[in-house]
Amino acid sequence: MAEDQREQVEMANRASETEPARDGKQSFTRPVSLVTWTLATFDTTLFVLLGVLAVHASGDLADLLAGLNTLVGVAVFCYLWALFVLAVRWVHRRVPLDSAGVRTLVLHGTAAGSVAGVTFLLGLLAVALVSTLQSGGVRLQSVLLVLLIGVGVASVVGGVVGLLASLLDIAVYGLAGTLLPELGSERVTDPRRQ
Amino acid sequence: MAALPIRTLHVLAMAALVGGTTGLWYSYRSGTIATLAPARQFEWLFWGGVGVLVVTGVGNLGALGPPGPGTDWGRTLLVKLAVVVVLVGGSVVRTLLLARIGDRVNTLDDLPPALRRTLSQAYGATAAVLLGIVVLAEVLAHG
Repeated sequence: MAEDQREQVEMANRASETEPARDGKQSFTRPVSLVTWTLATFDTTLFVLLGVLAVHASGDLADLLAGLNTLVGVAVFCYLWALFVLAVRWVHRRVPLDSAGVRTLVLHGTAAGSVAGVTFLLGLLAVALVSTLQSGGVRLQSVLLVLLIGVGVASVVGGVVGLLASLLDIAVYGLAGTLLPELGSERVTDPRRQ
Repeated sequence: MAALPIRTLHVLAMAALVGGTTGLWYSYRSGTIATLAPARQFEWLFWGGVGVLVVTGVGNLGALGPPGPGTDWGRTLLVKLAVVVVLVGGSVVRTLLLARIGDRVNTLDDLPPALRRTLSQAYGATAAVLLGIVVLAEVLAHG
């Protein structure tokens, strides 16, 4: 049993050697690595939490949430979460987090954020358009105008979010590295066998 | 109609996180677990749980209609949100620390005592912050 587990881990390790990023150990068995899943969820939850914190501090939270259907809110959050996972995975597959320069990582993060921002907007617009079409006619010029302005704004906002998120990711990854204990020559002991 | 399932999911996610982190803290402290594999598996669940907690937490707020930050309830909520930000920030460092340890040692090998101590302290701190959030949630729910 233990041999089987060891063999599986070794197979995963061998597969990860072809990945550009060192955190790709799980890539053989999972579509995303633990580091990607962690950083993407961290970025998403922090983005939402800071937004809620800011709106609550300004006293407008009740009004904002009153106009939002719970299931729609859950769906939007899941959509945002999935986009963050895809964006972080895209960056990590191209740039190794521990050896690439900050500039390269930030540029990739900004680009991924920009694309994710536009995709987020297009998804919301597609849903809004379907419900508008069902309720009545819609003018093509209005849709194009909203698309044009919206895509520009979404790419800038997404780029800024991507830039900040990648800076934060680099900072926490570096901090984790400084907290790694020295293994030294300390003997490995197992209390169960003592 | 969605309020009860959302609230139930919120409580279940919190129970999973408190139970998991407390179990790992005790296991690494006592030496019951000496490998990295259980912690690595738990981290996947942990971050899924954090996502569920945040989305259901906002859903709960929508159902409650929170008063402004000038009230006692509003101030407590402000503190709770700040502590959740601290939890998320601290946890990402813990998980990345774990991932970086995994780059240096085999996940199925027995960990050196220094690493076990570090993991025990990290999970202990996480469990303490989570319990603090539970207390703040109790205050918000019952005053």
